[in-house]
Amino acid sequence: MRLQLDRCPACGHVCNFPRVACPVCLGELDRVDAAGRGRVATFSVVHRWTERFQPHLPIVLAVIELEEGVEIVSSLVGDDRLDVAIGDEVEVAPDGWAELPQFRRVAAAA
Amino acid sequence: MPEPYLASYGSSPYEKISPDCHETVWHLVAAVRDCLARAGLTPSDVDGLALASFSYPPGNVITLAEMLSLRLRWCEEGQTGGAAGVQLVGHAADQVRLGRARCALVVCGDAFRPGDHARLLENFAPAMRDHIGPHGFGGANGLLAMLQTRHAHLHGTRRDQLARLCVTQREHALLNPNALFDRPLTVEQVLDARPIAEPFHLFDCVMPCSGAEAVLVVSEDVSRALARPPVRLRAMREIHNSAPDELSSLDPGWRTVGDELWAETGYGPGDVDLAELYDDYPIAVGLQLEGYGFCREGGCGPFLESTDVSIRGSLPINTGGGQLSVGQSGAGGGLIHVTEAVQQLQGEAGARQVADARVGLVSGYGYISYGKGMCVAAAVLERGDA
Repeated sequence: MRLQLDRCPACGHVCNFPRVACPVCLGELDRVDAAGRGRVATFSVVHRWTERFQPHLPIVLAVIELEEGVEIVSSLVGDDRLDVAIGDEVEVAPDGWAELPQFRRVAAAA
Repeated sequence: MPEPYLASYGSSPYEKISPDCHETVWHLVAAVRDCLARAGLTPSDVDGLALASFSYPPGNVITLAEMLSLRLRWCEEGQTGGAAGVQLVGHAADQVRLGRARCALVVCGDAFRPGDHARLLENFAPAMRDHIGPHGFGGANGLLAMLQTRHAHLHGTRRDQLARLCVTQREHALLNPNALFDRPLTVEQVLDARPIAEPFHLFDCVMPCSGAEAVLVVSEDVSRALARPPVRLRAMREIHNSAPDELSSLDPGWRTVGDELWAETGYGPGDVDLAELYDDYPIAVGLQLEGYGFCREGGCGPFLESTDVSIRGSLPINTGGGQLSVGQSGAGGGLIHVTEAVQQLQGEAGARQVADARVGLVSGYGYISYGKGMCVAAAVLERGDA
């Protein structure tokens, strides 16, 4: 799944989640492909949630600081996801289970 | 200008979530009844009403007024989640100062049946529902746990340091007849409990329940006529979405609000006799201790390890047990800190009374949306003869 971000063609502002208008200049936004790479800023390991997510527990919820300079909330996939640490390098995973882009670890924190 | 006083407080009988617990409006009215009875007033005396509730819609502040046959000159509905209780008390005080209300009720509470709370969280804020919900985020537990992960990474904060707060609040709850938790808790039990959203384990997480809280804000002349111990609302400050788009920030505005409260009242952290701080999780209390200046930035772990925060200690925190050990009655969890502070400052807290309580800080925090809690409101309360 591709990661896309809302970007303002007028002022260049990049939004962390989709907006109706640019929060800086209120102009119309373009949806652009993101690099899909970033670092883990923080995370939690979710063990309990509603029925439809049971097959995916434990879920590693994470704040990812993207190369584009914005922070988004996503989740990690992969057998090594429970080894996550703040600062880990991550990229968009090709095999996520969610309806939104998920990430996988590519390198441990420096 | 007429000075506002907090004249009375009340609570409904709290209930654990079950298929047959009372509905929201029953709890709201029960809290009003308790609050007005304590002041010797009836609904016909009330001319202002503020409400916060997640589960009452399509009922609202007007339908609650209708239910109680109130004739109102001011009404307001709070939409800031855990910050709404403190915020609305501040707004009620403003209305009294302006002379537009003389006797205003603030009521906050909810009732949940099994499954209601998870459904509420899945359909809460649009950005959270649409852009976090599909990740299976675990509700507030998952989002707020990320604050503790980051705090531990930056400052070395340990679970056992934070657990001490849970244990002390439980001691307080054992002295509060309305608390739903009635057994002592140990640090080991907190640490060994099953994980919910790591680093949160079971006793780090607030338990949703059904209940409501109410506070009465009155003008000086009404206060004199009531013969209630006077408690002043000295100042309230609020801030919302303080750092837009910053998800890993550990301060949603506490430092700004705290600095302004201390400047306006002339008090400082060292003058506070009791701190009633929003406690959905112990790390939230820790961050407020830092933000309001009770300890250095990053220092809440060592502070909680070395400070007696019980009712006998140097800084009593959440003296009624807080939400963590009473139960979180939805929006009522944002007002319970005010009801407890008023009860303490009126000298009516019985077995859990803080000796010579004079100045209290109350703090609300809430409304989670895209990755963070967005709203903060805090107030300084002072015994009338202080």
